[in-house]
Amino acid sequence: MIEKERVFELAGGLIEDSPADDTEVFFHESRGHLTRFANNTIHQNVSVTNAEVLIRVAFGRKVGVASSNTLSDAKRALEQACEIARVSNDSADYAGLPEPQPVQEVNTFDEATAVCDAMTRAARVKNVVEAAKAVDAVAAGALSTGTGLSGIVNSRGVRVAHAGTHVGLNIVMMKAGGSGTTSLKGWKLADIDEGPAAKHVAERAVKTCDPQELDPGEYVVVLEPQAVGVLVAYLAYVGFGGKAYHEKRSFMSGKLGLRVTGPLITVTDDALDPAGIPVPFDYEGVPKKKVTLIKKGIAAGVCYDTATAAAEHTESTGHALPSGSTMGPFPLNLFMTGGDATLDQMISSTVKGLLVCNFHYVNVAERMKTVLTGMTRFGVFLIRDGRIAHPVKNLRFTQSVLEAFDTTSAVTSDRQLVGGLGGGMLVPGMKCDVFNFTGKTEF
Amino acid sequence: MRALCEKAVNLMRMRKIPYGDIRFVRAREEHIEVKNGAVESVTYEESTGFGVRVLVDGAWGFAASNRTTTEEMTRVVGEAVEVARASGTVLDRRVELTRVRPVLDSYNSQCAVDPFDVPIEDKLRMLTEANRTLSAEKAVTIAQCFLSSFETHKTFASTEGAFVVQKITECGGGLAATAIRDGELQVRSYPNSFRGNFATRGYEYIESMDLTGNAARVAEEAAQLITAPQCPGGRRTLILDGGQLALQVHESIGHPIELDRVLGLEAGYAGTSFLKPDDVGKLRYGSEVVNVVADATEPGGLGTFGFDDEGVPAQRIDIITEGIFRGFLTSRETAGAVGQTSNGTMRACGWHAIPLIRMTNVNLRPGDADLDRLIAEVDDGLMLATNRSWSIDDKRLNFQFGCEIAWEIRDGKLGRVFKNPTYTGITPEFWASCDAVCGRDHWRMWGTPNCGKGEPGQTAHVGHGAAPARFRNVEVGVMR
Repeated sequence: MIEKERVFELAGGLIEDSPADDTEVFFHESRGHLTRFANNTIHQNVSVTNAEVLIRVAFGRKVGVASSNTLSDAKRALEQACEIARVSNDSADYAGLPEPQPVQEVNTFDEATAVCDAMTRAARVKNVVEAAKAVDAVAAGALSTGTGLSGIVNSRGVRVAHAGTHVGLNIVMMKAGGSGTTSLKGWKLADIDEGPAAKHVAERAVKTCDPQELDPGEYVVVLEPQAVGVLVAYLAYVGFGGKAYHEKRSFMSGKLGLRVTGPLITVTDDALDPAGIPVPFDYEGVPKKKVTLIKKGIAAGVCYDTATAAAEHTESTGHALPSGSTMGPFPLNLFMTGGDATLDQMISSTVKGLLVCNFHYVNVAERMKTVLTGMTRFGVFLIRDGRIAHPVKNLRFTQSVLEAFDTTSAVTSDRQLVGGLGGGMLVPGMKCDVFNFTGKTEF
Repeated sequence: MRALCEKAVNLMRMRKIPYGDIRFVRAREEHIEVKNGAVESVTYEESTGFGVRVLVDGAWGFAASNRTTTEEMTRVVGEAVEVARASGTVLDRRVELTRVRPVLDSYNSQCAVDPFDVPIEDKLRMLTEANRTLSAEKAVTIAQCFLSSFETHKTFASTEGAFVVQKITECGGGLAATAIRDGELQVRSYPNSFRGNFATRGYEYIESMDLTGNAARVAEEAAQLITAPQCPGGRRTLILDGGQLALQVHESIGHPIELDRVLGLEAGYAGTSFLKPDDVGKLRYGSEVVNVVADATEPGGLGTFGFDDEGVPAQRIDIITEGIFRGFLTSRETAGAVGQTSNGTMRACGWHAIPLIRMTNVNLRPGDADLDRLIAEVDDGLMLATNRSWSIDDKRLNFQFGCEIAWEIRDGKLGRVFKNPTYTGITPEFWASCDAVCGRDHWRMWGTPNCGKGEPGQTAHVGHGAAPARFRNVEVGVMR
């Protein structure tokens, strides 16, 4: 992997050569590996090496962005960005580049993960496949490892770099109409233990066999963390970004300080929390700050980059996405505060309801009301008189997340780091007293 | 490109690798957005690299790099072999490639005006003018105009002797008018939502869209939507416009006919399919007016190319004929499962990715109906246009779509506008309820530039031909 000093040298040279008023160079080098399996066989297995520079320049408020993954052509990307800026009109949003600020060092680099080879990944996949075969199930999923180095240098003096490793494992098992899944995320291969995870998924695949049909309607739901993670991710997508907030496209617009969910809901974004996958700075090189988004049901804040912070007369919270993205700032390291319950307690306190393990192919049906629609997948169980009665066939839900969270009556103390957004989300399980299922399918 | 590919093939042959291929790709993209009268973003991206795929002892390995030197190519070939050997340690079934005649050929997609030769100033001028018209409507809070251009050069060479050079140029763009009032948000787009429509054409395609000429209507419809009543629920007759129908085809026909899904190869992520290999020729997928082809040769389609990323020539294949299911999208690895050879649908989204079975242009063939007559025959129904949201289960049966706008049809006439229309159904039941498809005059190609699949995630450009069609007794209006 390239040395940080070499990144600063390369980026610094481009900035020196730039005729623009403002110049920002984002450099990213990566080595990524992914071993994918299905039908108890490794069927796809890839290793990719890449490096790119993304350059943003401004002449006054005229902005140009260009990128290249041929480092010997970085100068040409700079020229391209300048050419774009020169012929462009003024940007309404551009608020200049950020000034340098102290950045907290975080360690997310693990040598063993960095050097993990294909045979090591295959050996771990084999353990998963054997756990599936032990219960006559079929396994699918993927194990990924990799390294990345990101550096940002700008003409105002920002000069930051961070190298990290990453690892992700998702496991699916299927058996006679039943299925189960789990996903594990981290930056250290040693922290990912596929054995217990595979055993759990195998047990779930067995327990969900031969599901029975159930009519849609309103149910009490006990949501496992993976299902909660999907809902929280979409809440972030439609509402927690400063640009959506500023443009009044967010359910948070005009609601700060007001109650938006029940009191058991607290959501923060904290890229420095070691319980997640820490990241020291955003794509503008601004240090990451913790943002409380919803506090005990009250809309508390949104996240900003330099442009949206200027528009809202506040400071960047370090949530910029790569320049050129028109999405605006976004929280990539979400945390939902745990409660004091367990999943077993939630089930035993439910007279009639559903235990939902995960959702599939969710989409926004009505943005401002946070109405989502999607399917259940990898296990739904009918709860009757405080006990799991039997697995049921998958259902479609059409439900406002805020309204569901308004009826949250219990949250688990245990939380799980699940995938979905950049740095993973640490989320608990929860019980919602009202959840609307609007359709059913045939399996 | 050529020299590196030839060296890689020679190296793989010298190392006696049973099968290997290399794809060298040089791609560039330009994206422009004008928003509320100002430039929102102008970005230019270039990406170059190569990927090597080897099949060793029946197991796949793939490695790729952005460093296009001979030394790096040699390392990458070695890495691909190591990866394949690791794959071989967890292998229940060896991969057997169906035979294909190695092709020596080249292909350029149709392009009259190279979009990268058109000055950015000209593009901004056109978008700004359209944006001004959108913004003239007071109810429009956010006015957005988009334009994107793509160019891909790729060279494919295999140890079997194939050598294919292709250049594909794509263009697209559109408008979106957003109205926000009292906690309500409504969007109206042209010609399609999510940044417009796309084709394998040059800049002439952008000019043919007449964005400015459509801006006033789009803005006016956004204004209508923000005060419109909620779409009523119930079972109704539906007419879907071509843009929405394109996504309906995509989700409920295009994905389930991918043979890798059918065989369980995507079970770990996107899911499988309700179809089985022996459904070919037997399963009733829809009514007799439903005819679908997968046509990678359709002029201008966003899924149009010369050869797939296994060097198999682009083809036109029957998918559904008079409602009966006729065939899958296949690859060299999967086609043997249905006793066929590949029909050429393997594509990767870049040098860094492996080819997967991807839709080409999965087209609902035109029928013989006239749109006015279709509407006139409806006593009580709805006409829905332009997709807003989509969701479907992991076997592609239960779907729910939302559209931007609905018009009431009462006594054969289009009437008032409804907001937030949604409809839901089960795939074969829904297609069985289709009783008319409009004719060639209403038929056009729709480009979907954001089809996601695979791990690591890939985004493919695919196309769908569609004309408005009518469906009876559909459940409408599922919304709290």
